[in-house]
Amino acid sequence: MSDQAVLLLRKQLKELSRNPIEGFSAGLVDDCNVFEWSVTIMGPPDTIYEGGFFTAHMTFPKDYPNKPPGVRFVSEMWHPNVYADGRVCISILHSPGDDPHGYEDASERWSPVQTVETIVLSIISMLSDPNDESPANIDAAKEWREDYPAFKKRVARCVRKSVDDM
Amino acid sequence: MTKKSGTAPHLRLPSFDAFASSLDAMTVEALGDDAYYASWFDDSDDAENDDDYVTNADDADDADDGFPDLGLREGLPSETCSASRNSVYVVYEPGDDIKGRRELINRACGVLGTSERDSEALLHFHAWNLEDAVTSWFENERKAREACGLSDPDAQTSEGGMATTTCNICFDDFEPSELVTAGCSHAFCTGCWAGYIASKIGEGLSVVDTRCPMTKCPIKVGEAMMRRFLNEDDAKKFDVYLGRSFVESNVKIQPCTGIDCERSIVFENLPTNPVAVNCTCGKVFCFSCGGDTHHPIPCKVASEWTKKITLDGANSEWMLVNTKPCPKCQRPILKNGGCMHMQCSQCHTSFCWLCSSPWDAGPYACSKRCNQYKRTESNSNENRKKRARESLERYVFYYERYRAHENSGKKALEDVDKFKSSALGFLIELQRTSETQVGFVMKALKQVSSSRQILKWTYAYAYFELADDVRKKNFFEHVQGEMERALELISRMIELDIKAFLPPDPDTEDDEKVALEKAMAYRYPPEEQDKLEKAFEQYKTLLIDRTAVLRKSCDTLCIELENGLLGMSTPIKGSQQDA
Repeated sequence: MSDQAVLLLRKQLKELSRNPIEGFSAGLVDDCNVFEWSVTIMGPPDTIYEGGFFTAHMTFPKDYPNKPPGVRFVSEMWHPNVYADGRVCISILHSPGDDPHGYEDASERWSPVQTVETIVLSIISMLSDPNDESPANIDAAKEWREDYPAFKKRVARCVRKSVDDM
Repeated sequence: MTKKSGTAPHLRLPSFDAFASSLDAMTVEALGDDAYYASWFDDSDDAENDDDYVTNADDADDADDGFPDLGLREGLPSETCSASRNSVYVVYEPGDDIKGRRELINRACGVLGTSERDSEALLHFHAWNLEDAVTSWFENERKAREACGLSDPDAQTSEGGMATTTCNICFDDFEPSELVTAGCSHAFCTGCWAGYIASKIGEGLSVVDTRCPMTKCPIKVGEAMMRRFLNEDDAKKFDVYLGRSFVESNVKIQPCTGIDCERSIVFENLPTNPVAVNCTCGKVFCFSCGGDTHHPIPCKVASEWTKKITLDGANSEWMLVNTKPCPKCQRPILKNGGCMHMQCSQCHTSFCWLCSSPWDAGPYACSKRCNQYKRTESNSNENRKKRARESLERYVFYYERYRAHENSGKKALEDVDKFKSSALGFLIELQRTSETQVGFVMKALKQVSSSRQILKWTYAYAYFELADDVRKKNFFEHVQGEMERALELISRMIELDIKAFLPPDPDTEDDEKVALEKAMAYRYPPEEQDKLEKAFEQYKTLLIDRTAVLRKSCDTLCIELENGLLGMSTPIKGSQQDA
């Protein structure tokens, strides 16, 4: 199974370097390990994240693509759906699992047809459109809801920092 | 309590595997053999018909090889279950669930003329209710298909012209013949399918509802296709999940609540009233709520009562004195500080400790301003205390009776076992008769045990349901009293009167073994033999009569409770007036 993961990840890496997708760039953290990716996501235009270059690490399990990777921002990030330690919490990174109603919203859960590209595109869409209903970072969610100017300020700091760190 | 009581059946079982293998022969028949069905109480009033509902228990007993009662236990409370007179159920051994599932799928195929795959998806969606499945199918086949994740048959036919030759997961190219779909247009290679399905097995029960791997595709992967890609170990797990999902979603099946028991109870026709069921492991439980049997009172009343007695238990008095119920959720609240502002830790309701009215956060005071003395009934502290005392006394009254009948019922259940193991043998020997001739004592004992079980719950019912309706309460107490009198008469006969026909009580100095030897050697004095045999005949006639009376009054009480005591207007009312 792990062979399948290696082949598939290599294939995706090759494909992404040959035909880059607008909005992010992807590579390996360490060239010998195809399971650890580093992606740099540009803050989507017309959002408060615009101008930022946020780096995130994707860690793929051995049974990828049947199990989702974990994604963690290494750049500082302030967002309702990103834990304080940088872990990204979006539904497509979760398996349907034992949830008996899992299939009612199956569209949102992990499925082996997801690729690095679709995951990153989901993260970009998360940046422009936070999901308030299941916040990972309660403080950020509260600020986003109740004190948007302060939230914006804090994000602007993250954006500046991400550029400085480049 | 001895190990033989129904509450600790697991203690009596050897390892489950050994147990199951010893039952193999029975298991095979389990679904087809009528003898396996446990039919509840017969409609007839004939007290001699009791044996009808003793099922394969006896077979298992006869071949006593060290295993405990494997069949339905005798003498259990549920036996006088008038609510379930026509309810027939069967006990699934582990593995039978899969067979039952298959049987239902085949039946659906027969009725609907659908493929196994379609029937399976349809039944799964309708929680294995065949009627619902059939109705939805005939109402609107297209809609029914869509709901349960089946592809449109028209779309399926166009599948041959599958355009893609790339697997959507590994993005490798394949010959169209090497790609497989779940019935939709999303093709994946066999390697990716196998990986996908194996990972689904790891996700647990939801594997039984595996869908096409494509995002947003609702098409269900059929059982046959799942099996095609499962290795041997995973196929076994899949079977277990299929069985479990079948049992859990099907309202006609309940898993046994006995500890470590993996059987389930299956009804062909769902009983309308709560029904006590008896698993082969010895566990007796209510089929409707899964709790311990509480026939003849409704599940809700029983659970409220159980909650009350476990919550209150011995502490009820202390609680009444020291706590107050939260005005919203009724949980008991203990004051833990000096401030009168109380907040329920469970539902966060703020209220005033003194008068239980909502707390006013603004001025930080009780919203009723309860410092102002108003001369009303409800404000009088004396009255409140009196009411609390009355309410406590009322509870204690019902609780004591509940407990007393529960304990006596347990003892009666032990007596059944005790009688069977010793006195039964003595009686046969002393009366020079056969087992069938003394079986009536067992029946009486069983009737006592089950009647006490029923009586105990009627007190819980009375506590909750009969507080306000005096007419109903009087009527109920009359019927209940009749039953209690009948019960005590029998109790006396089988506990005390019977001693005249048994070996004398052992000397206190004798140890158990010596006492047993003495008892076994005991014979009636020759000059008394005839007299005692005659007396025993009379005793027998009387006890059989009284057992029938008890059974009848027990039934009356149960029927009345099931009908919400509406019988007040039926002829029984006449008997009440007569009395």
